This record gives sequence, structure tokens and C-alpha cells, in this order.
Amino acid sequence: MKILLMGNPNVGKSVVFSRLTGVHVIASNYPGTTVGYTQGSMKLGEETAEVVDVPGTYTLEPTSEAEEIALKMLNAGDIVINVVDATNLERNLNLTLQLLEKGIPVIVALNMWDDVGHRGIHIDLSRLEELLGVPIIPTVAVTGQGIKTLVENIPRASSPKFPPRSRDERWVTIGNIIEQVQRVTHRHHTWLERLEDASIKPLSGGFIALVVLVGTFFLVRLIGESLIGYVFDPLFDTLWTPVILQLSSLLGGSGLIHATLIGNIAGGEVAYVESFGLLTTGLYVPLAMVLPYIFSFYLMLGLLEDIGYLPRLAILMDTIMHRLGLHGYAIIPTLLGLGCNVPAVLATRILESKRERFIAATLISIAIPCAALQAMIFGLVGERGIQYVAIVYGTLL
Amino acid sequence: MPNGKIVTLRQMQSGQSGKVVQIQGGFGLVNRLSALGIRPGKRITKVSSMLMRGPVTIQLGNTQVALGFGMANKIIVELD
Repeated sequence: MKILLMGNPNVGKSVVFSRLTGVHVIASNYPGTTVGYTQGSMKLGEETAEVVDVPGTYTLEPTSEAEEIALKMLNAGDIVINVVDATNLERNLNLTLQLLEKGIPVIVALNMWDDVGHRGIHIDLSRLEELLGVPIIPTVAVTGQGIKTLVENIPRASSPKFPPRSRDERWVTIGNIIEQVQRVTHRHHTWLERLEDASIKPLSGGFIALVVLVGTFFLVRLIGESLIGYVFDPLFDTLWTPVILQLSSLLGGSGLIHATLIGNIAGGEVAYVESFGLLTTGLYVPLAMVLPYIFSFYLMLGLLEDIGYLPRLAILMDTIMHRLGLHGYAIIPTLLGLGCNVPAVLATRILESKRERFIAATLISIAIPCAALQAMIFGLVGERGIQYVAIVYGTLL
Repeated sequence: MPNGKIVTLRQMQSGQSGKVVQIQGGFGLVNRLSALGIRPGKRITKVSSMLMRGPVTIQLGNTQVALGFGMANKIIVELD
């Protein structure tokens, strides 16, 4: 049996998929992360069912590349788990209705159920189930809540006869459904929402972006430097230096092997950066100079990703990126490129056309220094002063 | 009270609300926007727009959607 996970972009399909199959897929807090599809399997009673994580789509009338893939895959499935963002019922139901019109058995996972409450939304589950004629299971995929019930109810997935509708008729139907099941109590804007709004206005947004990026930069540096200063340097000094000195005297302090493995050491101290030996500089640079920066960079990137700032940055950058022949969205792979160029180029898949992917991939390859490169820039130029670092980055830009 | 003033989404001021009355585009655009929930009759609030023909962000129910400048120019709104 083949189970398809379908839903709008950024509703948590990939998380549900991970929960169902135990296969870890990358889930990120911005739309369009899943472009290719991921397949896994799960136990369903006695049977093993195949589960497919279909790229997010707003409609079954294909309007973008990802949606075309989704449509093609639909024809090969037996059951659809329609993952719906409960906080956005109206928009999500458009796809749900289209799925029902196709006559394929559907079960709805009403995801992000925990968010519904504190957004002041009330959804009448049993009424919704009645109106759609398919099982509706509230879930919170990130915590795993409701997933078990979802699995138990998969055999109940049904395909009520929904007549095909035109687009306008469909929206009317959705409007009726929403009216019957959803009640939104008015709520004052929280300070977070104000901040969110401010982050996409030209002036305050530019300011916030600057604060966020500069803040990120310094935090990355702070975490990286602290790791080097308090963890890796002491580790090398107390644990590794005695070993090297021992080895050095064992090798007689000179000769080809000594020069290759240990390099030049003077007196009782090992200058890790300048000795140029396989076991000294060769270990020290990647482990104690580069690794801490990579670690701290991804820590901060993960944070920015999870609080959902990246799409906002994409809006801000749109105008500038248009000059380069890209959409603002391309800022996401570009930022990833500051970590490592390989995942960045892979991430250009989220861009819509081949042309955009080509431009972005090329720019990333030639102009975006990865974390290791940046650590080297800082390691080599940084001690001579920040202005030289700025020159290096200026050249790249 | 609707004063009936008809503008494009681009001409709306940030913070203004209105009702979408028409989408001046071909089938593809109408289709794409309706999938995002933007269609005639729908109430929207403009959240912000970027300088220099940048994208326009609007509030639609509980979501925010950012639209390119070109698209924003084709959405006709009746102001409240």
C-alpha cells in the first residue's frame, strides 16, 4: 500500500513523515524545503506500507514545478494523509477539497493543533468531520501528539463522493465550511507580532536585519572564540603538547619524518599554527580553529531558521536580489553557503527556474566564503585588524 | 463603511484594509493567487511594502503573504 503525505507548503508534512516512518528528514521552518520526494515505510498492523513525503502544494492545478511533481505522484497513491495547518484552515481546505474530488481515500491530520488555542481560533472538529466526510485527527507533529491516533485511523480513510467543482464554487463551499466550524476570537497584537510586522517594513526591517545579522556575526565569533580559548586550546596544550614533545625527542628532534609529522618546534613549546607538521598544525587548524566556527555558525543558523526569520529576510532582500536576476528567496541558500557551499548549492533546488538555480549556484561557488574559509580568513588576517578582514569580504562582494 | 475607492494593492497604504475586487491577470496568475487564498471578495490588510519596487506583504486571515511588485500591481482592491 502506498500512503501519500500531502498538504500546503510549510504545514509540517516532513515532521509527520519523520514521526510515521522514523526516517529522519530535514524539516525547516520555511516553505519549499521538500522539493524532491522522500520515501519511507511504516508498520500498519501486519502490513508494511510505503509512505511518500510529497512536496508542498497549494492546489492540484499545477502552478509550479513542485506542484507538478505532487500531482504526478498523486496518481500512484492509495491513501492520502492530508496534512493541514489548523491555524490556516481556509487556505488549506482548498487542497483538501480538490483531493476529495479526485475520489482518493483521504484522512486529514489537523496539524499545529497546539497553536490554534493561543491564536484564539476555535474549530469544531466533529462538525468538520461531518462536512468533509473523512476522519479528522488533530496532531502536533513536532511533539508527536496525535500521531498514534492518526496511524490507528488510517484504515478509516474514506473517499466520500465530492462532485468536481469549479474554482469559484470550491471557494464558496470552503467559505460555508469555515463559517460552520471555525470561530476566531479577536485578540490583541502581541509584541512578537508587532516585531514580526516591523521586520518587513523597509526602514525598521532594514534596521532589524542589520541588528540580526551583526548580532549573529558577533555571536558566531563569540561562541567560536570561546570554544577555541576555553576548550580546544587548553585541550591541545595540556593533552597533546606533552605527546608531541615526547614524540619529538623520540624522533631525535630533526630529520625527514620529524619535519613531516611535527615540523619546526622551538624549545619546550609547540607553536601549533607555525610548525607545519602533520600532527601539529595539521590537527590544530581543522580541529581547534575551523571546527569551533562551523559549530557556532550552524548553531546560530539553526536558531534563525527556527524562529522563522529567514523568509522575512527574503522579503527584505528581494529588491537587491532582483538586480542579480534572482528572487529574495535565494538569500536562504546564500546564507547556507556561509556555512558550507555544498548544502548551499543543493538548497538552490528551492528556487523555481533552472536559470535562477544556475545564477545562485554560480554566485555561491565564487563569492560566498564557507565557514572553514571564513575561519581561515579570520585566523590569518584577523590578528592584523578588522579593517583587513573587511577588505577581504569587500573584495568578495 | 466602504467608500468605494478602487486602488491597486500597490497604491494601498500600509495598514489599510480592503476587499479584493478583481485580479487583472491571465489564468495562470488568477490560479496562483487563488491557491494562496487571494481572490475576489477576500478581505486583506496591507502590512508593508519594500522600497524600490520591492515585494508587498499582506495579511490574509491568519497568514501573511509576500507578493512581488508586479503581482501587487494587478490586484485591484476596494478600500474600506
